[in-house]
Amino acid sequence: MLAASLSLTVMLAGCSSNKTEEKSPSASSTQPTASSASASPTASGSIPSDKEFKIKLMSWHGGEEQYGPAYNNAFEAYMKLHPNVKIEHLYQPNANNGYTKLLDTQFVSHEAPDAMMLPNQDAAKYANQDYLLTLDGYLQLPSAYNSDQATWLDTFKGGENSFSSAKSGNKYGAIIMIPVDGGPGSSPLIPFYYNKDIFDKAGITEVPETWAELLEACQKIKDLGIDPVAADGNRFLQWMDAFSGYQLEPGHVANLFDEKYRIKEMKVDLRRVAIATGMYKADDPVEAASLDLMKEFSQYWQQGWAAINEDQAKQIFLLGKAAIYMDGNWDYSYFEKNIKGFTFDVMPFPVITKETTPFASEMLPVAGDQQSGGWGLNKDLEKDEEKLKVVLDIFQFLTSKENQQTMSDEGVFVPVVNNVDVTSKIQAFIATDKNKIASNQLNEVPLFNESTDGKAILQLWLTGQADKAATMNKLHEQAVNNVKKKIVEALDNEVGVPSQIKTLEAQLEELNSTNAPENVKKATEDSLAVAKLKLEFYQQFADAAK
Amino acid sequence: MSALAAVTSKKKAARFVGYAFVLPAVLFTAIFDYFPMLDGIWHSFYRWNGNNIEIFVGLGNFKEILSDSVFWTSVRNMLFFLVCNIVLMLPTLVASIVLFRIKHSRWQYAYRVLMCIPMFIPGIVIMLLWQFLYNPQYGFLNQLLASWGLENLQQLWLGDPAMVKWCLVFIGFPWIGSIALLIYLAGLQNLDSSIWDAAAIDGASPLQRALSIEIPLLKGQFKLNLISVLAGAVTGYNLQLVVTNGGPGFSTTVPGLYMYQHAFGSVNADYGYASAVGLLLFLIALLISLLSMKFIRSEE
Repeated sequence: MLAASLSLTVMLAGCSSNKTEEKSPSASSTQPTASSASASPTASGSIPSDKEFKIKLMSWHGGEEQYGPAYNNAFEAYMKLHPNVKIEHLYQPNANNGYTKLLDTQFVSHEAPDAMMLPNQDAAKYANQDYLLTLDGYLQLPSAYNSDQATWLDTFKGGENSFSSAKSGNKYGAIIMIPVDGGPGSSPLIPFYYNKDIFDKAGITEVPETWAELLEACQKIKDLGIDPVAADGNRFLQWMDAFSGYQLEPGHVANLFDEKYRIKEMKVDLRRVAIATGMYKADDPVEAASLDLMKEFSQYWQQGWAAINEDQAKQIFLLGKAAIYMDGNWDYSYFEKNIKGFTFDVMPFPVITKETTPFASEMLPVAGDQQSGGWGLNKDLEKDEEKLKVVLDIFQFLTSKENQQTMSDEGVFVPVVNNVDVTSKIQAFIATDKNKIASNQLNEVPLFNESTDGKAILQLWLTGQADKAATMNKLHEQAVNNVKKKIVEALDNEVGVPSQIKTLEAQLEELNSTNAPENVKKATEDSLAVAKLKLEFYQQFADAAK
Repeated sequence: MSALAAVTSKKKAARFVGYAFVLPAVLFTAIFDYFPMLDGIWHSFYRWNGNNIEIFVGLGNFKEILSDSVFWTSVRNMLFFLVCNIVLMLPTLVASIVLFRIKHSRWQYAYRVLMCIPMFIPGIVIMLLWQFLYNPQYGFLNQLLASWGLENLQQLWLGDPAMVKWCLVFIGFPWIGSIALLIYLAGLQNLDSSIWDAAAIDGASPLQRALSIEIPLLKGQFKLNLISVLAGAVTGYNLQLVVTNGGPGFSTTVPGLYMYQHAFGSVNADYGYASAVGLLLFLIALLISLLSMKFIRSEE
């Protein structure tokens, strides 16, 4: 039944695609009809001005939070430009899946807002249920607010390529969301917020760029009798272990296996098999080096860090009792509002150099190049062409160079369009030319990542209650246990890779028989090829799970 | 004959109505209490991720649990909290006796209300408040010591593996449980007043009255509270989860938290394994409760 309905919808999509190709050759699925194409904006103010419009837009950003005010101010600016348009920004928190639960019911009853913020996977879900407009055609038209680019799509960072993940996730193979905040290029490493006053007092004139410089700066702060780092026993520990490990010996695990398996989709599989087979040992020198780095750094964390959480650590920084705190861009405005009595800035995660360990690659991991989410447009808008025009115009405004400049500065996020000057606030969150390690080469501290109690085990090591050998043995013991189970699962005919292959083959057959868009077929073929490669890989090492 | 049939059918109808009233409660109890419990027992023999992966592993989960040193550390920690919780039943018992002896009914009422107020404060608020008090950098306790010029007595509190368990125990201070207090009070109020007259005539001191009359006569209520304390200490983990998350290291990890972390706390989520821990905890709590029941019977 489900398969039949999927075939039907894909078939319809195929028909739709064929029809619209006549109007827009680059379109891949449902495209603007003749009437909506006439809605193509050519200049701001192309929306009907003789009629009042009430537009409902929903996001999970509250008015008091960082992104919320940035959006609200942009909406205000738009309404000033178009006094006949009233934008209502609906706030629905994400907690307990409340956001998608609400949308699920709203879509069914056709009560959903005109546009809603969605991560890629949810956008794909609603597009597959035919609740969202496919947007390729609209994006192929010029934007009213970016006249220097040929099409609206070209204004986005990475252009059409940056949408390839998002496109392959839905049955139409279409662009089904418009990104507005957090574009490709963000650094995968979380930076450090720091207290500039304490740095000045300690005589630190240059922001540390390498690990050695960071430790040197911490020592100077410690000499003042101030805790250099506000750490916690949970999130901070996880980040620190990952971010220091990432930089060591790229390809350390991947290079243990044949070249054809060294693809980013299989990096987790490689590390699991490496641990299970004993190729990656309990005394792995690279993971040992990352533990040593942490241990050395931990002497600069405030006392009692192991028993506190990130919120308490944040308070310590906020109160000026520690000089450095690791956090993402989402808290920037919080600090701007709440820090009293000292000035702060953000420094990128430092590069580990060979001065610190021979395993240092002296590089950072590459940034992602894909749009990770955006705003979906309600398919019901097709019934009201004028309103659709207005909604599209709002998003062209939001993604204009000028507005992105203002919004990204205020919301402290990486802009989604090209040619936006990045202010100093965002600089530390953006990847630079140091971000060179390909994701399939990343050393992801395998023992820590595959263990169950990694953080607690590290706490014992870092607080001197266990030695390094015992720490690594415990991590290894748990990791071996876990990866063996994962390998059994991967080889299981009912739930593992074999069943994944069957599903993908069935999907592909259906896509072929329904003349689905080429990019959807290609994405399914690629997934199938990866699944087959995985199975071949696991079958070679099946004994490792025993 | 027809009158008898009418009476029978009326009785049947009345019985049917009775069953109909009870049916929703029976259904909901079966669905929300018994089904999850039986499902948990079933899944303790599986590797189960709560979704698509459900692989029968026999006694594999139990073997793994019993060979995991973290589990045994958590059991040791649980025993520590169990003993402390039993000892700390005493303040409630004493408070109830003192409260009962307050003759002025208005004062007794006022104290009763005062001791019951904590019942209406969510436990999580109290735990978070204590977490704040214990913070070594900005917490109340170290600030207080500093203001008295006693910096050398400042502690890491929750950050010190040797001290953290005691810190958690102290969170219950003054260890007066509102529900237990009301149970004891009800027990004392139900006693025949002639006992007190006889004690007064015999010239019993307040301590003698407590040791020879009040405490022995409250044994039934004490045992009831004891079972609830035992079950709570064996299976509970709220305090550890909220205040320390089992740390530093495994210093405050208890079996309940161990179960929780295996179900929700890591990327290697395994509800089957967690169900097996739950089943073990259930058996331990059941065993201790049965022993207590036996103890109650032998005394009575």
